[in-house]
Order: sequence, then structure tokens, then C-alpha cells
Amino acid sequence: MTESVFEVGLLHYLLLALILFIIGMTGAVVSRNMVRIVMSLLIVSISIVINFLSFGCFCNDSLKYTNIMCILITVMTVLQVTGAFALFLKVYHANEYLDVEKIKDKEN
Amino acid sequence: MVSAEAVYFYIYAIILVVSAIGVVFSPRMFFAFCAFFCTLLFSSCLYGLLDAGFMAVFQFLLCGLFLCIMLILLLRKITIWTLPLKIASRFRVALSAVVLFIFGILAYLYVNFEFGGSIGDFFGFLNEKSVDTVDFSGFSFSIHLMIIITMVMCVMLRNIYLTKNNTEDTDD
Repeated sequence: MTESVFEVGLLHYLLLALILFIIGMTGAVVSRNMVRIVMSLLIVSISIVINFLSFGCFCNDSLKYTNIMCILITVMTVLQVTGAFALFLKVYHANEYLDVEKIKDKEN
Repeated sequence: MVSAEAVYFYIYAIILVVSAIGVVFSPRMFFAFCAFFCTLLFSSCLYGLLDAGFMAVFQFLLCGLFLCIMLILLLRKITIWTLPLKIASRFRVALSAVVLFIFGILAYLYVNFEFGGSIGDFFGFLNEKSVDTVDFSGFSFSIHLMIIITMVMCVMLRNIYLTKNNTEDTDD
């Protein structure tokens, strides 16, 4: 029992990725600040990368190019987040706040 | 005998989970930013454990340095370093927790079904096949399909929330 707990395998990494995914999703749903929502979504993307890397590490030759896929995911995430930050700046200059629900109220 | 890899894994995993919780629930934006940087740093360390050293360096350079500098510039421009934590109303938080709990149970049942562990023992599946190698095509695609479906579900939930009358919001 103790040995199996301290032998780190695929499912340990999958469990960690699941916990991070749930935390990130909770943050994305619950937060009202746009910057915090984007940070939470980045945590979700980290959990997805951990998923891919753990499959690539523990599965025999089934995913040889995991690094390339993960780099693609990371680059896409960073590009989207950079664009989102630029939009936030515009939104902040227009509204003086970054609260999604206040902005939605203002639109209505 | 405890291997060094297991020790490193548990240390990194605990720091990652704590800092991820810090990103979401820290009372001030400055602490959230520090926790976010810790998340990026220690996830890079975790990638190193998975034989992905190049990916670790790449993520640290791109996210840990470039993205954090971008975030610092943004937070300086909009001066919200001391912005207090604002979350949705208690009803929404509770509903989101229920939805995410149901998702967790579904994910656990899925993994449990695939790996044939016992439902009674929550961590039974960890003990049985944690060191086995499995076929990628059998697991990875369906798991990532679940992830995409959940993300879409969360976006829909958020939109449903926002289209309702939100007079019950609280500023904590």
C-alpha cells in the first residue's frame, strides 16, 4: 500500500491535473474580475498540458511528439491571453472597472 | 524506499494546488499575481519530472517571464494592485460547486471504470495500476473530449448566469 502510494505513476499526474482543472474552472465561473478569470483559464491550460505530458511520458511510443503539441497549446494560450490583456486595457479605459457583471449590466 | 521522484512530485503537486487556490481566492490582486507566478514556476518544475525539460524551459520563458511582465504592465496601468476579491453571490458559488462536484464524480467514475478499481475505495485505482503503461488512444482523446465539453458547459453556465437579473450580487 505504502509503496504503491510512493511509486508515482500516470494516475498521480492525472489526478493532479484533474484537481488543477477543477480549481481553474471554479475560478473561471466564480470570479468577477476579468484578469482573475484569465488567470484561472491559464491554470486550466496548465492542467491540460500536464495531462498531455503525462500521457506522453507513460505511454509507450503512443505519443511521440507530445512536446510539440504542448508548445502549440502554450503558444496559443499566451497569444490569446496577450490579446485579452490588450482588450482589458481598452475596457478599463472605457469603464474604469473590470467587473464582468457590471459591464454586462451597463450593456443592458 | 521512497524515491526522490515521488518526493519531488508530492512537493510540486502540493505547491501547485495551493498556489492555484491562491490565484482564485486570494484577497488582493497582488497576492493572486504572486500565486500565479508560483503556479507557472512549479508547473515548469513538474514538466521536468515528466522528461519534458525543453517544454519546462519554454513555458517558464514564455509564461513565467513574458506573460508575467505583460501582466505587471497591465496591472500598473490600471492600478488595481489592491483590488479586493469580488466573487459572485453565495447561490452561484454553491451552484458552481455542485456542478463541479458532479463533474469530479463523473471523472472519477470514468477513470475508475477504465482502470477497474473499486468504487468503495476512493484511491483504489491509484494503487492498482498507477505504474502500468496504457494505450494513449484509449484514454487521452476521450478525456480531452470531456475537458472540452466541460469548458463549453462552464461558458454556457456563465452566460446563463449573466443574462439573469443579478441584483443579489455581493461585494466581499
